[in-house]
Amino acid sequence: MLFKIALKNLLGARLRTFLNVFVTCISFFMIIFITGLYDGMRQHAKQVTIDTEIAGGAYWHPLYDPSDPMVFEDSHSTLPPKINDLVNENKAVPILVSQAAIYPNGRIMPVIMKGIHPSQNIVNMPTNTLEKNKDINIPVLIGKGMANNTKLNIGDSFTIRWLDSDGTYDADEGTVVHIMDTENFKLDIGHIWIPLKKAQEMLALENEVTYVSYAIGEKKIKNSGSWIHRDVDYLIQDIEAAIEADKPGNQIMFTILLSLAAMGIFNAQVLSIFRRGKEIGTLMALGMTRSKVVGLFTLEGGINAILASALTLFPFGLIFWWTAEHGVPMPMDYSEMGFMIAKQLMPVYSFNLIVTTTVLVFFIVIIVSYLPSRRIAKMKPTNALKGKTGI
Amino acid sequence: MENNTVISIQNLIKQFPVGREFFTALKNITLDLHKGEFTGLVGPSGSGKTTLLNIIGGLDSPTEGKVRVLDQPLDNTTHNERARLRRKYMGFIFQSYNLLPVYTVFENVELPLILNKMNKEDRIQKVNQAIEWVGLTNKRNSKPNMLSGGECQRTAIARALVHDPVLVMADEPTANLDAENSHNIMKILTKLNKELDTSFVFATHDEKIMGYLKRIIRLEDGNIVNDKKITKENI
Repeated sequence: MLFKIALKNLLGARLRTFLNVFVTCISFFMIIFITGLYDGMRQHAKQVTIDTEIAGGAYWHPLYDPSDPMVFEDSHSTLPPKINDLVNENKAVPILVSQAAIYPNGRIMPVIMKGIHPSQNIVNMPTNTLEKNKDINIPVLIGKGMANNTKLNIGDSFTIRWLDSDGTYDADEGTVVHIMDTENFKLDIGHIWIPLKKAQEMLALENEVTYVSYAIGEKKIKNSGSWIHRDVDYLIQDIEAAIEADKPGNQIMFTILLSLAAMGIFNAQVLSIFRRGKEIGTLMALGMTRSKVVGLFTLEGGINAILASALTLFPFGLIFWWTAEHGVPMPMDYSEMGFMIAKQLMPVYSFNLIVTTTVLVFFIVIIVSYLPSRRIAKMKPTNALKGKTGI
Repeated sequence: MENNTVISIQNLIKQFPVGREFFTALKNITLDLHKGEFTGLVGPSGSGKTTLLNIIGGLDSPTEGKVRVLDQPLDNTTHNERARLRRKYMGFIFQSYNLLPVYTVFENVELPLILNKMNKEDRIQKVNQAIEWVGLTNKRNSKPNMLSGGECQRTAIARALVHDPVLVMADEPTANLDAENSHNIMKILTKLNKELDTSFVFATHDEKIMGYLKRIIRLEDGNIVNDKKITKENI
């Protein structure tokens, strides 16, 4: 009986129902969209790191620690035979890491100089640009952020100074051959990339490298000598840790969005219910019990939430689909600020997100429908009939 | 019902809090109303007629005294029991109609039957009959905002009578209507009173409808000052 009356009330009150449903629907959309963007941003950061830096995993020289530049001087050697086989089969790319200083436009800037095989296709970097100009002494690949910081353009030359394996400082002219547009600031800021052979020659470290990254899908080799295997899970642990550290922030944002939605829905429901004091009085006069009145209005809220879920699927579902397929353009390039944010951010609307949001919004609607109707149902029917609802 | 008594009131007092004081709206009212009576509670504004009507209808409770409606002691019943009494045996007609704005005439009239859980086929038959009584068959699918005041009140009457109540309470049913509509409404109610033997209690100060009443209970300042049965002899 209540369902029939509730449905009739909702369908009969066309504009009021539409507005209530629309407010709830907008809340659904905003929570799912913004949280989806946020999730997409984090997943993108992980994906970009794997795509441009980690690939399938790595083998490190036993002394190598990417967060401690002081050990770069000692963390290199020739590759163990099995790892070398991977490199020869083009299933891994060797990289030699060292400290250096550059002097762009007369300024000094400490950098990490990395030698990489130009023809590699293991990590997504435009390293092939390093072998295009054979007559350049030291071809250098830098990122857009680095180019901005140093005011270097393609074709610009600058001095590079490094310490070779004999402990001798040496210097030479490097020339920018390409500026890569990468979202991974870890390849960009404070980095210069040069051909591996050139780096080995400059550092007097023939055939020596610091680590190799191997292709996605390659299995861990059994005998990697003293070199340490680092799998993807290990290599993305800093990002995972950042994501984990970000979780409270994410939860706070979700709570704020949910609270805003709750306030919007509460406002709409309270206005709707308290405006209907006379109707409630009439229902009481016709013999509806207080509990049934509360039930009726709570049920109306529930149906409202179901309608809002349906409306969120269409047309907002189309917006979800479109943004998930084509992404959302970001107004600026955040990589220079040290954020791994795509220029075209792809939101991720997980099943978990949609179900959690739907259940939470549903309960909010039920609660914000129940509270005012319970209050109004406690009124004397004579006051309700006069429309004296107390607001 | 004892001796066809529909309503039995003894020493009823109703007080309302006004600030720290109490205002006594009804002072020691005692009266009986019988089945099929067409009774008017008449008197000026503030005389207590609506308060008395609300207490009889179980919408308000007495401060002191005993009120029995259809053999149920109202001073001893719960909200739910009073709601059941209204749902099953009472009908209400309000001055401002109190129709649900989103419902059509048919749906408004159907509501008491839905609340009484009547099956759909019977409901349709009863609603059509009630709409026919009040002459609104051609307006059955109209919403209240498309009806005149008289039509709205006729819808309210159909709603009050559709579930065959024993007692109908009407609070100033003609106050918002012009003379012609007031007479039409009262003619309908008189006819239904005769045909259905339903008891009617009106709260009114509208002189136009006095001629239709069979019993007039005059209230002043919360007291019954006159209780007169209208017969052919004393018209």
